[in-house]
Amino acid sequence: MSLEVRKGEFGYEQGKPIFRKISFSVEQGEILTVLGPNGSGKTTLLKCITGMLKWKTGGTYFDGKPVNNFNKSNYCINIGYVPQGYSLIFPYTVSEMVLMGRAPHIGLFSAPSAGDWEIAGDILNVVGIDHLASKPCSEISGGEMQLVLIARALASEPDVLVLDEPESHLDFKNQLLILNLLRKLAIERKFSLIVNTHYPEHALRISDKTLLLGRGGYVFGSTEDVITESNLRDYFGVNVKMLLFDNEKGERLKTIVAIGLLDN
Amino acid sequence: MDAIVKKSSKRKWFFLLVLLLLVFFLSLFVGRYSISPIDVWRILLSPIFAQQPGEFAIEKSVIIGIRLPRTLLTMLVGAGLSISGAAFQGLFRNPLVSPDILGVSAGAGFGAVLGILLIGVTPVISLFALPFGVMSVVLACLLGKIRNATPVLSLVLAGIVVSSVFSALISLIKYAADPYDKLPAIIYWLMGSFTKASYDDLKLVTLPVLTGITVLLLIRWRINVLSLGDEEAHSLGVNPGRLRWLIIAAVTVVTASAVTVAGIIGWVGLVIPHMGRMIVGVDHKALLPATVVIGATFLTFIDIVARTATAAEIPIGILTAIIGAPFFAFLLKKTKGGWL
Repeated sequence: MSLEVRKGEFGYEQGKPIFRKISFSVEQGEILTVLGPNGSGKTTLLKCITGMLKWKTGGTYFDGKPVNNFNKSNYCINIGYVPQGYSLIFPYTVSEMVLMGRAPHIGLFSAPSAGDWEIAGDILNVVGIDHLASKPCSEISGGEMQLVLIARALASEPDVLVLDEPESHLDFKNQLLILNLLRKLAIERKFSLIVNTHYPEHALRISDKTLLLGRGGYVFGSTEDVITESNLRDYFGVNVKMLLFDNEKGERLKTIVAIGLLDN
Repeated sequence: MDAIVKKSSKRKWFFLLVLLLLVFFLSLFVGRYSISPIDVWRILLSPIFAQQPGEFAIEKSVIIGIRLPRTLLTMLVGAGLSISGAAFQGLFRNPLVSPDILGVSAGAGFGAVLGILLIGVTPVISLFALPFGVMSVVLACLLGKIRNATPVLSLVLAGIVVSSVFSALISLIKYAADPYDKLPAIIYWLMGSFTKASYDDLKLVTLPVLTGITVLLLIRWRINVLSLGDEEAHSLGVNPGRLRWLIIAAVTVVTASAVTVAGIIGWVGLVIPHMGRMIVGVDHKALLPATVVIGATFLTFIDIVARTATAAEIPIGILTAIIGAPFFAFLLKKTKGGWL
């Protein structure tokens, strides 16, 4: 099971492509992080992958088969999408919200069955928010809301999970909570994840592969190869230093310190 | 936990249905022509218990011929406007929207007013109101199809444009109409009323209104998904475009039919959905059926007041706001707006 983008090109305006011939892939159980400065098209890329936007040329392939037309009923794969930032118009309860993830499996004129409720309930447990089930989404914290959105995407039983900056706007603890959850989903449940992030450290912490986007170009490869001092300097225009240290368990951790802007 | 929620929601439904039934019977029992409650029962039960021929002839025609069709029509219109409002608020992701946001009331109103100007007040004006109501929505939908714009926003904008054009045309006709004869008829029609409710009206609108309500009830859970916005609906496997047209079509059929038989009745479609959210929550799966029951109850109750409060009948469009607004303000204070 692998998701692949081959020679994808996309631009909002004619003749002004954001990506040129971009190719990358993610295998089952792997996490791919997408890094890049503001405006480099990270969110646009995710929308192209999920089919919300249409590739101009090239396309997304699942196990070698093209997934171009965004129509879930003839879709050979189900891509779960966790959107960035959230404004809620109607304060649905957490369980109502998670239940909406079942939509691809529920007919136009039907409502969720007992089976759907059960699946949603199980997922609340997996994500660890079962105690919030009957709370309105307007009364939970930002970190909890992010978990709800992840749970909703999981409820659709996706093959691939795509997350748009799931950990931004969250505090230290919630960031770790989300990152650990993503890691757990990839290892234990064998999901493929594609995660946009602003934090190179987070990419180092959780991902197997990284796609670094920049104006006009990109680098793709294993996270260790892609996230280097020189690549970050080139793509973000910032002088950085990568530091290594061991935690008390003897695990090697990496962190990245921004030293200053590049002098032009 | 789940059991408690289920039990309390059962109690709410029981309460709502009992209230509906009470108002239904109250509507048959009271009116200008006073009939003792016992006689009303005897007339209602007359198919079961034989009576002497000719007994209660007038009373019978009042209850069966006038009050019953009027009550049924009021319930149908109240239910239809309310569920339409709830569906539109979900679709447009905006709790301030009412079912006439796409111009159906202004359009149908213009049709009726044109009919009154040309041929006077006859049942035929329905045939003017209905097509104009539908036409204005089609117009709004065509205008609202703008590339690169959020479909929901451009639709609302187009609806406002169409509404204002038809409102201006209504004013133009009012200005041109004979002030002693046609103008009062036009103004009275626009304020909304069930005074002339008959079995003919009921025959005209029952099928379209019930069809529209049924469609909305069938897709009610999907409205939840649609209310998250197009992109998220897409990512959850729901085609927002198709679902949107289905809802707009159903709401238009219901609202245009309602305006055709009752004139323009504001407020119900805006506020009953909010009352529904206070009682059963924001999930459209429960909300839509609740608005049907609450809307039918509310409008029938208002109509009872409209025809009994004063010597002359008060147009119902006035009373929905005069009674409804303070009641709503009271609920708003009492629930502290927790459902918003």
